[in-house]
Amino acid sequence: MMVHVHILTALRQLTINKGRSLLTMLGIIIGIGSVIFIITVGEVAKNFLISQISQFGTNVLEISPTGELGPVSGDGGVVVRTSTLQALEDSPLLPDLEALSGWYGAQGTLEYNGEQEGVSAFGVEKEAFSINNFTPVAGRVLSDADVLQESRVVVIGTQLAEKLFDSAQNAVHKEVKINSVRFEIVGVLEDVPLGGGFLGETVYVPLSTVYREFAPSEDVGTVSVILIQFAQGTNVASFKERIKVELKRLLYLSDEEIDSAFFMADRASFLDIFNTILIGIQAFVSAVAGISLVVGGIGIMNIMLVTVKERTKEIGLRKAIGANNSSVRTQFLIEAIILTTIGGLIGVAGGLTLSFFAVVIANVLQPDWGITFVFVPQAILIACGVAGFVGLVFGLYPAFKASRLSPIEALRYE
Amino acid sequence: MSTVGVPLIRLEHIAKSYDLGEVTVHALRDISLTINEGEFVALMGPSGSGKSTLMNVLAFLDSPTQGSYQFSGTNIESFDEEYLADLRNTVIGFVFQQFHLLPRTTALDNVRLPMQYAGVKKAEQIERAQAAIEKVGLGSRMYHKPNELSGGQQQRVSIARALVNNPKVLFCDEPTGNLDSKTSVEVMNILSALHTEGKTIIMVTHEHDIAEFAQRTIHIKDGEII
Repeated sequence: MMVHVHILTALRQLTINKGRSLLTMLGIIIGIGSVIFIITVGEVAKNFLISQISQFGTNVLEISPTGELGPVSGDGGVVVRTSTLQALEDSPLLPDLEALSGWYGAQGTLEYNGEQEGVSAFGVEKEAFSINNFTPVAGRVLSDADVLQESRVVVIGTQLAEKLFDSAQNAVHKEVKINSVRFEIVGVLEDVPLGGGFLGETVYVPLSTVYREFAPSEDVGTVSVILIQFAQGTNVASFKERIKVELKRLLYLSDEEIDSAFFMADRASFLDIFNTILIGIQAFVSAVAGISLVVGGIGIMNIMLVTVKERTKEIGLRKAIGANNSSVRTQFLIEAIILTTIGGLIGVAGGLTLSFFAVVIANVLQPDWGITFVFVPQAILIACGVAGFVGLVFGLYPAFKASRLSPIEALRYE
Repeated sequence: MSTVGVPLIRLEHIAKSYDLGEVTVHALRDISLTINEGEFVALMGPSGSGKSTLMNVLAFLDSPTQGSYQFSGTNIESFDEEYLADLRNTVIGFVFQQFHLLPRTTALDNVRLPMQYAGVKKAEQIERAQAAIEKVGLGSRMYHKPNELSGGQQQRVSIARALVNNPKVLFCDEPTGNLDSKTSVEVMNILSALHTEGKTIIMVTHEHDIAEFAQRTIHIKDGEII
């Protein structure tokens, strides 16, 4: 008998017991749905991250002391001073170093008209803006003069500007207080999602001003983050090695110490780190989904055994009028495969719907991040394949059982 | 396959026993029997006599433990499952006491079933199924499902299904066993008409008035012809 007749028969059986079929498919639906969800959401996040990183400029190395040798400042930890940075910039070993920017961060409270906002105030020099491709939407970024004069000026992000002043334009030249010190807003930056501090909005003030107003005296002249922009086409591994050699020399560190003293990552390697985490999460969810698929498969096997029992007479009749064993086996195998494949399709639809809503919600919460939905067609194909395979594996035994029924006994079965 | 002068069915010393461990049950003992093309034969006997087993052997549903079976001049030596399934599909038709129609399936689709296993094209399936249903007088009930048909009508659908692959023999297992006397006669009249057209019919029954429709009655008791 032709396969398409089996498929039609299977579909009819499925619709006869709609509720039962749906319950049976639940394990498959959940398993496939969660895999599709996590893969789609992961891909969305990855695409977003890539777009953000490329927006920053990828030829940037970020270096920060790990604190493993002690706290960043004092207590015998690694302390990087602006003089160290100057030495790096002048190093003959690093001809491909294009720009360098040392940051010193302080937590603070920004106050305007009685409204208070927790902010991360980063002391930076003008290079910080060019390295990160930060461009002002209103006003200007910080200049060398601001740093030289230790001006009390600040550059803030669009979101904060809109919150406090309704628009970026309005914010420029307004006076705010950061930790009770008066500052003038000179510019507003386009918000960069991943540039935001975890402890509130990031604002940028001249490095010298931060030292004078906010840093404890022992921190003056130290930096907690170094951003280095290198020339396009530089071998990143070699560049990192040369930086290490110089830092070792400048800070009098041993070979062992240099490796643990700094966290050093180019922006492309952030993507690698993210990928590693993502693969870990996806593997974990897939493992859980795998269990769900096995349980679902056992459910399928169970219901198929019930079906074979219920339809013993039908099997007897089919054999009596000419069905051979393999035809009966194929019929029930196809029923199981159809059951799981439809479950898989529902799961795919569910997973896609969920991830679509996740993207919609993310866009509602962060409208300017511009997160876009992506399809992962391979995942959908593989998911359907896996679902069908589960049906094949767990349908085999019931189908085999059906095919081995003796027609005489099957017809007599009550 | 059919040759003039050769009987359609020839059984020689057929025996069928079931080994149940401690005891061996002899369902059929030394049955020799010839049925010619175009005959209408009734197999009669009390329950447990072996008449059903004999019919199962004749209808390729069961294999004998001893003896030889010639069908239309061909010795049925191989009782390979696939070969028997093919024979059941193409050279015989089956009518059951309990009709055995697929539920929730129209009369037309029920009648198409044997042709699906024979690999007949869909258009031809429908054409032949319609013709078979009209032949048993159910032309107006083509798209009715079994639960919308009376017992007699269901049995007529099952006769149509048995005829649709144009078999050499029609096997009827207590065809009127589930019917009242009036519809029994209707169904038997259809079988008689088929016989008149030349169809070979072998029918198991335990009712004498039903057996009277047949030309010849074979009585079986304790696995032997008496």
